[in-house]
Amino acid sequence: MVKGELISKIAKELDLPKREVALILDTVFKSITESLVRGEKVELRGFGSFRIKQRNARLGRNPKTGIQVQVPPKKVPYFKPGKYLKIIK
Amino acid sequence: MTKVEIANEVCRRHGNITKSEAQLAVDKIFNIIKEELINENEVEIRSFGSFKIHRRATRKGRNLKTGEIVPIPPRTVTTFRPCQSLKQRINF
Repeated sequence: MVKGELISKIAKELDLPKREVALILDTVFKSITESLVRGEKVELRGFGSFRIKQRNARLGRNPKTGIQVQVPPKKVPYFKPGKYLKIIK
Repeated sequence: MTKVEIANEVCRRHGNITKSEAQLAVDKIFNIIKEELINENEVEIRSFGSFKIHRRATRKGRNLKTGEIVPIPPRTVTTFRPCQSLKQRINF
């Protein structure tokens, strides 16, 4: 499912114009992103939560040349699914 | 940040949408994504990331106390792959 299909489905179920649903959807993911950028945790009850994990600097290797390189520390977004998503079949 | 706060943000940015409408829409978004995942479909949100269900096969584990081999039942896990732009925004 891609964004357009998600928009159509929501618009149909809530009886709202697609244009409006598209705006809402964009705002929702924009505000989650902004919240994560600020370093906050985003908790969506019944779905899961998003937070930022810190990855330390480490020594890596260029797989092609075998030369050791320093991989800089970085932050990665992390999603922890809620219980509902864990109990599929 | 919680779902309520996200709904408030939707209201703040789009004056014509009421609080109850925004809340309904926010709930709907995540419920539909959840349903899709339960049906084992991948959900991709451009400029954010994609969600996918992966099946894990049975594997052998060990009871750490007694040392006996016990099977770990097959399970499904949800993975989230952040898209490139989200990863970049978080690091800069």
